[in-house]
Amino acid sequence: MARRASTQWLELRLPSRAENVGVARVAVAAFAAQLPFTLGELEEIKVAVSEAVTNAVVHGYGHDRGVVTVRAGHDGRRLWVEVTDSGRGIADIDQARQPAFSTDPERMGMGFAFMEAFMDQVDVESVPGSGTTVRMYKRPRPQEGTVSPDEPAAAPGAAGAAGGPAGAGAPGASQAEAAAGLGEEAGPAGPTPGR
Amino acid sequence: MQVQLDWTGRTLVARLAGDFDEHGAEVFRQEIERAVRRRAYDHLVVNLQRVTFIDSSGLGALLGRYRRAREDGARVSVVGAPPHVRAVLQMAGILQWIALYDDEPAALGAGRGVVPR
Repeated sequence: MARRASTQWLELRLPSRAENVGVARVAVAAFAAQLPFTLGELEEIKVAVSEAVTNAVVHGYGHDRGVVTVRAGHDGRRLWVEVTDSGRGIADIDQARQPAFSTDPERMGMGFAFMEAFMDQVDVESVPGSGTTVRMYKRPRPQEGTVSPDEPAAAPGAAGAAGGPAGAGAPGASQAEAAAGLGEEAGPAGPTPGR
Repeated sequence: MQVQLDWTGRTLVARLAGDFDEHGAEVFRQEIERAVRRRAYDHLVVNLQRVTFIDSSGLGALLGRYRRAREDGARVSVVGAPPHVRAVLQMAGILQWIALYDDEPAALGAGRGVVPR
């Protein structure tokens, strides 16, 4: 629907490799710059695209070979970005969207949380065994007077530490609580940095 | 992403340059794991001054090193994150666990008893 209304669009088909995540986000950010996004907003778009494409490479294909398709378009007012894989799919999308869903100690489990924080809307469709499509939308924020171009911290949800990673051995609960409160000050007390 | 390693006593300084994403995270993880397997450390300082981008994969790799360091009885600091990198670190809450310093001397000084900010 959004696609048909778009007058400008982009389509990339990339082998499912970690090295191509950067290709996708840089291409989409360059495309998005056709709209009056600030540099900070373009950085946010880069993070969101990076998360979606990384999910396709790491979770969709599990580092197996496959193709990730990245489409983007705009109608002069709103950007949309669609990332599709033909990988294993997601059985429980609601669960996958929960912050800290990851049980891997090397992963934040913040992929969808970042997409949601940095884009206006994120839709996920998935069929187990046949693949996943993530569709994201973002409009440039109205400019008022002088705006600091490189201030992504002004993004919705970016204010304040939102709790964070659980310490060693306790990955789940506190991280989930923390990220559920993105943008709020309160987070679970954690170990203080340094000693 | 490039990772340059530099030992000062039992402190390992890792200077990163480029995009700290899924691919960068793999490089970072391998380089650090290889270095600390060979030599005892009590402080890992990750210099982000020349990092141009970070996402949750980069954060996950930092978190992984933090967890590993705790097991090893060591700690982790980060140094000099550019504004948009810092914003992502803050948003993820990483800075509650890993101290952020303006520069390497500040991070190294903290190892000698200066209280981190």
